[in-house]
Amino acid sequence: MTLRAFQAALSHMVRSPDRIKPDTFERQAERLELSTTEEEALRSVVSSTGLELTREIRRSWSRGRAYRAAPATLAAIPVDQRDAVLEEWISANGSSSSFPEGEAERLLEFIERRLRDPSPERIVCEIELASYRAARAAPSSPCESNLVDLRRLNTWLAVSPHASLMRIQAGPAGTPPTNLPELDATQSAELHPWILIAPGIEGGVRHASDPEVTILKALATPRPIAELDDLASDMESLMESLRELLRICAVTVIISADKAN
Amino acid sequence: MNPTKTLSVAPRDAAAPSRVGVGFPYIDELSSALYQMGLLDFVEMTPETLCRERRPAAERVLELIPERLERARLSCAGLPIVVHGVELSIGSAHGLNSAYLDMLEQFQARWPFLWHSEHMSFQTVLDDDGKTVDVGVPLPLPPTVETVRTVGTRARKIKEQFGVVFLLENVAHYLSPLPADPQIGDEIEMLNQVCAAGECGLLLDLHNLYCNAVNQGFNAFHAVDRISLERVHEVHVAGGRSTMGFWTDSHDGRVPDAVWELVEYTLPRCWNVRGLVFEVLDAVAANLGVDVIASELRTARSVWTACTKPT
Repeated sequence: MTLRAFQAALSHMVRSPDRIKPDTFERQAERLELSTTEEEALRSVVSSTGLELTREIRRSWSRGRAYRAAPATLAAIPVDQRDAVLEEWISANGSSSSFPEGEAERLLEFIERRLRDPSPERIVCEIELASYRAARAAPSSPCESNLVDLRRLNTWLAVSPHASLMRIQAGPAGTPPTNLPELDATQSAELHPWILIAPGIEGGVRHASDPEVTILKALATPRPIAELDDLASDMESLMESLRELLRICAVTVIISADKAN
Repeated sequence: MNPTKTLSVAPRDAAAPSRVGVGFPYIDELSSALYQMGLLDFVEMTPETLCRERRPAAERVLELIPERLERARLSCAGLPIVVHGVELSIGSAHGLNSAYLDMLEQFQARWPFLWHSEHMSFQTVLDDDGKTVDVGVPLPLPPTVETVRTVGTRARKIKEQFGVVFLLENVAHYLSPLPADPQIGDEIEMLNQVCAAGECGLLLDLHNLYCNAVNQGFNAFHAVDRISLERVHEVHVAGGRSTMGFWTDSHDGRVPDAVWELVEYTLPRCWNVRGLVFEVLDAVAANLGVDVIASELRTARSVWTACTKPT
């Protein structure tokens, strides 16, 4: 048996979410073109308790790595749901790398899709995810505030993939907002302010101002600076906010004016 | 159990490197006081724990994090270090993890080490699209001619690249019997042949050997007698636990008495040995506590002193 064939077969057995059934192994052996002797040697591994133990160790390590990657979110999810979501993630070979932080965003996106919206645990998940996105960009992406001339109206901008705008909407005891009394816009903004997470913010997070919220919502889809004209009566204030959003890497340039020309 | 208990310390080779003594891994979660209590002669660093991984394209990059590196240097307070890697995957058929070697070069430039070591195992494979994927746990290599040639060639290159002794460690596993070539026979012979082909040393983990002996039903002392002990530069000990009918290499407690016996039997026969390391898993070290760790290190010191005293 070649080393490659052995490793493919063994890693398949160890990564398999379920115990390897004899017919699955037959198909694997056929695909790897194992000789009769080689097949016999691996067959004894397939049926061994040692393989079950190795699979269990792998799953246990993966669980540990997932906890390191998403500690807040996994702590916030009810135990049953947490076990189920982790089981599903690990069965899909999640958290196999020794550097779980590198996989954290994928894990949190995976969890986020499975959480009720809105719910307190989903908010925790969104914040943890946003923090990772911001932290990933912080050391490597210089912010672009000094490079952008806001007078060049055909420069295209968009919300940075490393920034997140979110609203923490759970009530004081974790009640979802659907159960809260109707609030007018002002009351709502005071009770549930918009939170901005971006690489250039000291400490990573702060409240977003109203013009910032307006800009970030508009730039969820890339658009030229010229189109921001319609967003506010006070253009100067809007441009000031845009400069700040560029400075903290919450907004990024998609197409510069030069290229757009 | 022990076939030939009495043996005086083997005469040291005149050209043998000097002994260093008792070591312990660097564990960020532990109080730095442990490294400054006079219990240690050296520290074993796993530089990957000081890194973050980036994947800017298809390839991986391991970046040392300056703050973590600085904290580790402060904790170690001038003690010499050796490197014990976990990410090389030297036995992967598709190729080893070159990102680890690139990072290790940078690490060596900033913090030179006495020697370095890795596990004789594999932990990455190619998926159906030809992409490198992590298995999630290190797996053993089969005792075959191809394994000896592949790992031996890589070990020799690594030794030349870093200019210090490179060691390969015997691993514990629960997947016996592995398919073997008759020319190699078993894992002990594979270990000897790989180290000879790679012109490298051996990190003899006696707890790993003990696990395999218990689980596979062979005599650990007889196995030691078959190992090329002149290649042993470092010995590891650790604690384990019984799980699903196996003795596992869990690194979460005191060293079993049977393993200390094995150390007492083996060390006097390893005339090039330079250090004895007590290993503990990062995640359990804080719970185990400094007192227990210090107590095991004192035992290691007394065994080391008795077993390496010249006759």
